[in-house]
Amino acid sequence: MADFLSSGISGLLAAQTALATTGHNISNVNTPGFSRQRADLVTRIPQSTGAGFIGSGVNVASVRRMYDQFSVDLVRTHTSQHSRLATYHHMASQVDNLLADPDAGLAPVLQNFFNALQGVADNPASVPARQVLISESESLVARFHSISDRLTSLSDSVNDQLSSLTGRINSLSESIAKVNYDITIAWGKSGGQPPNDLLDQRDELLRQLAEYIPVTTVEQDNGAINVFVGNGQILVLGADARGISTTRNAQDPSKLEIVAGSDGKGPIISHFINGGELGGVLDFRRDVLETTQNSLGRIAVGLAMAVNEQHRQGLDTYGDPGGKFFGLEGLLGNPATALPATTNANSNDPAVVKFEFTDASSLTTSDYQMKYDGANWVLTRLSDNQVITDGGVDADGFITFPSEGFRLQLSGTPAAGDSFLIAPTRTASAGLSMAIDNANLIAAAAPLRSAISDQNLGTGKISTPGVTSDTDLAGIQPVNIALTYDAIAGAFDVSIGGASVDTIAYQPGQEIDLGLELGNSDYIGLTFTISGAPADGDVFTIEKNSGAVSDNGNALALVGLQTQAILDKTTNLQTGYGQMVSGVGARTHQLEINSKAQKTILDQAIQNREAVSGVNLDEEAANLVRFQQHYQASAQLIVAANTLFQSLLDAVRR
Amino acid sequence: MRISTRQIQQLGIDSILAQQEKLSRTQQQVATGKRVLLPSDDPVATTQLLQLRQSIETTEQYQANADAAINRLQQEEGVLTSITEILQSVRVLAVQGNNASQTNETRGFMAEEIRQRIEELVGLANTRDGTGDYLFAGTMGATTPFIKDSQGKYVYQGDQNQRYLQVGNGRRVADGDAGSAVFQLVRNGNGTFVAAPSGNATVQADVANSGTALVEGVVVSAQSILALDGYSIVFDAVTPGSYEVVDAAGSSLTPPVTGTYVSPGPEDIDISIGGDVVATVTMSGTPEPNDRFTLDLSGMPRGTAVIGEATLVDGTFIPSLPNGYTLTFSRPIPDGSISYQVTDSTGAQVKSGPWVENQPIEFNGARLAITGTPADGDTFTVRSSEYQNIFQTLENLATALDAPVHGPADQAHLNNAVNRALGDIDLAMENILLVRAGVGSRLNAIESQVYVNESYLIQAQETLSSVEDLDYAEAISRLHMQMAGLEAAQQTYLKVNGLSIFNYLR
Repeated sequence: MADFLSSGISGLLAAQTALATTGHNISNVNTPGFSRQRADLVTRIPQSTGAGFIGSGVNVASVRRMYDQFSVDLVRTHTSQHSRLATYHHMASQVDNLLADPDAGLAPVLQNFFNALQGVADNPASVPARQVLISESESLVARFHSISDRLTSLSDSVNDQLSSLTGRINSLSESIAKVNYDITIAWGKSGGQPPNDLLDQRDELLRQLAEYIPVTTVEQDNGAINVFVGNGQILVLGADARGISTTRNAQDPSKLEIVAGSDGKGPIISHFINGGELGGVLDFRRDVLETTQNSLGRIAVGLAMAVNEQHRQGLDTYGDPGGKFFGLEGLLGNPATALPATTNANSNDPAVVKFEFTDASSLTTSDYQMKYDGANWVLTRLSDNQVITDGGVDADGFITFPSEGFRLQLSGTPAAGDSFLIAPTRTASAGLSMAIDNANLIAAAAPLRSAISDQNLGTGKISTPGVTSDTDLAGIQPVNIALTYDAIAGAFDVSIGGASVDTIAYQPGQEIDLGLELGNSDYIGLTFTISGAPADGDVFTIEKNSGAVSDNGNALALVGLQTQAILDKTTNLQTGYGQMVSGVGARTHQLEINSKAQKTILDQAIQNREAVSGVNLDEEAANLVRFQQHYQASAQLIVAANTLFQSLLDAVRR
Repeated sequence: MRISTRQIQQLGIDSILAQQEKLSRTQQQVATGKRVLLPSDDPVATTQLLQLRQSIETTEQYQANADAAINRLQQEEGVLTSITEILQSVRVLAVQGNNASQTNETRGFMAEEIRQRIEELVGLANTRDGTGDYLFAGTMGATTPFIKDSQGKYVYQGDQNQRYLQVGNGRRVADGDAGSAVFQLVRNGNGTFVAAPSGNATVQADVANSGTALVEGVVVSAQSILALDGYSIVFDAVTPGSYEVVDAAGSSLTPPVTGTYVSPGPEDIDISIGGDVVATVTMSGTPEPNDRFTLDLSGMPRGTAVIGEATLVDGTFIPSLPNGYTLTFSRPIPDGSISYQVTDSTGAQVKSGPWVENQPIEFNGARLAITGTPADGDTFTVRSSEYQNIFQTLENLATALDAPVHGPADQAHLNNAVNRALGDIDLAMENILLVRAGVGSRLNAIESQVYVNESYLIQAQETLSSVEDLDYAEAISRLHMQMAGLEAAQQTYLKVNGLSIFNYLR
């Protein structure tokens, strides 16, 4: 009977525990990371009698959490991947949005610029038309600046995010270290019973951490977990949180990088972080932000170089050769200094690398590293880590890189390991400026004109000469070229300022390319056509196009730049911009799809985890009823034992 | 599979959120009327849109360029029409002036009218366009194209360039013509060669002269009443600069011709007979008293030969540079037979033969129809046509009409000059017609290009609209479907979450 009673009591206690567990489950139905728990009931050791074993009740062996390590790991991994894609998508959308508005992008102002050029071509003598060109050019420059400013502010916000994410990761690491400590203590105290809620708490902390940075974990014998990030760098070691920190990029101090350890002196692990919000932010910076900045800069460089080059071929209202139209601060004409790495040797005569654009159509959107290995300088294109072979040293002492569209000048004494970052186009759109503000300085007129003498007896005609040399026209003034036909020789005698310099055989309609020394070793390259039948002694003249205020020869050539492949030999300015926009659009689109797909995968993983660990209230209600009945029945056992005992007492009392 | 309560709720909320997101995008599309809101919505369409907008705006600019070109060309066409009218009226005057029934006085009036016409023509040549640029200055729009030089001749100040406007993809059309092409570079004669009487009076300084005076030139405007044996200009022995013109015998003319020469000149000394100025000698330098200059008239054409038509034979004329051919008539016996010979620039004989009246002379591709009777020693030159501006052509005509006629030789001289001027005017008109035809064909080309641009614009706008614009019918029905979907998701959520055993545990 005592057994009977104690069996009842054990049932009562077991039901209490089970009810408590069910209550715990119900209370935590909305607790993130909570795994439902179950009281594992086992029979007590039965009493051995002659009649066999008589059961002696029930015991609670353990309160166990319903848990599947594989599902938890899967949720963690997919959380990292999803938050990377979601963050990446979110940030790319900002650039996407920036470029979306047809009125805010580059396309309309670029179009207005070329339309204003056409306006000047229509009416070169009109000061208002020229003024419109100046103000449209200013708008174009301002638009480059505003887009560049917004991209720069995104770049700043990337740095801010890296800092704040680092802070959150570090505080999570500390929490994990703390829970690790608690778990080892609790495990020791409980004599091997799992501290379920602490374990859940740690799993949840790890899941939160995975949102920011992908982690790998290794469980220790004492129940603690070691957490690693990047390429195996320790984030948490037992109860010790090592953390991560940010440091300035040695090549480009405007960029923050992630390093292992909280003192900022550990190895850079940015490029190993392939998930989490951190990974998304870093991917965005590398693949969208910098690419967009470089693409935009390349358009600015292409525009400035092509327009300036053509503009210098024309004459302004005063009859002077055109100067620069656009300025490109620190970049064009004036070699820009490449950024030395902060790790470069600190000597009295430090190495200096300067770069200058040579050809806009060869420019890439990549950055470059120029590194001295102790014997040689090596230029590496960072987009594909390709070593670039140079094209030799030119007359100005620059090392040329014809395949990349720029040249470099080295000075100082380099030490082995010195390196320089060359980001040719990164800041070009911010550096673009107007070089002229006087409408009369717009060089709309062609530089030279040709004429036939009114003494000519033949029917020869001469076309307007084009200039093929890129010599500054200022150096070749005045031009006074006469071609006199010699019918017997069938050739033109070419004279400059009356002095005979050359003879060209004449074939009607043939294009004549003429290179002439103009004294002072100035050289002019001309191309023109003489057609018809000139008579002996007929004279054709080529002279500076002075006074031609209504001439639009050069304005038309500038208009022609709109459809000319200025960027990479097949791309004009506007298609270049289109490619940039659709590139960002396509990437954002792809990220949206990937991020949605990853969300589905993550949801699936969460479902799998929930299927094992999640609390179902209906199930708990049923359990509640079940354990209530268990309790009631066990109590009834005690009542029965009491009744039986009372019967016995009654029997004895009599 | 077990489903946790939290998950049931989460799934419900997720589906509501997803429906709301779709609804919001559709709503935005309907509100803006655009299918593509962000480049990421449709990257390919975005590129297409950028390109379409660019080509639409560029084409619209082409249309504006075409308007500007049409305006200028139409203005030019108007001016050219006026020029043709002036030339025609001058031509009528020239034909009238050629008529022997005219008197010196009526011809003088005609010359006066022609000079007025020249002024009118210069005004037209110096027309400005709507923006103040000179229409016919080439590309030197701020430079007056035609001004009088110190000699009183109109010279061209502009350049020979044309300005081209872009009116379509790769289509450029000149929006005008340089004044040189319209007025300046016009051939004289018949376009290939010019036949004209040659020979003129000469003036020799006396060997005994002690002064430094030089003869700059002599122009004989009427020769019929001049004495063949010449005249002399004799400076007074006492009064410096005072002179008298005397005949070959040294006698004063009737009435006497005297004057005062102001050193150092240049000064014109007019020789007039019977009130008409028949010759003008231009002198410079300082003459001394008793200096004497003799006017020799022996080289003057004397006959009445007039070149009627100068045409090409077989279309090819072989030029003789630089001085052309010389046609010389000889009649060694007065009233005897007349022969001619043609020599080239080097003096080599090209052709010779007897001269038969009304029978044209032909050599090296030139055919000259000569009427009248040439005198012994009369010469004509046949040289390649040169450029002669229209104003000079008319001025030549006015000068010819101004010259007094006193006899058959003067009449022949006048007829030759007027015939030449008529040929020159015809060439000038032909040139203007050619320029007008060019203007007309350019206008046609622009108009057809404008049409091409317009149809491109319509097509491009349609494409733009089909790429960019929202299909409202589709979008509205989508909106309704999505609203129904959202409603269903919301109701499902409420219903499903209302289900619980706890509802039954009382």
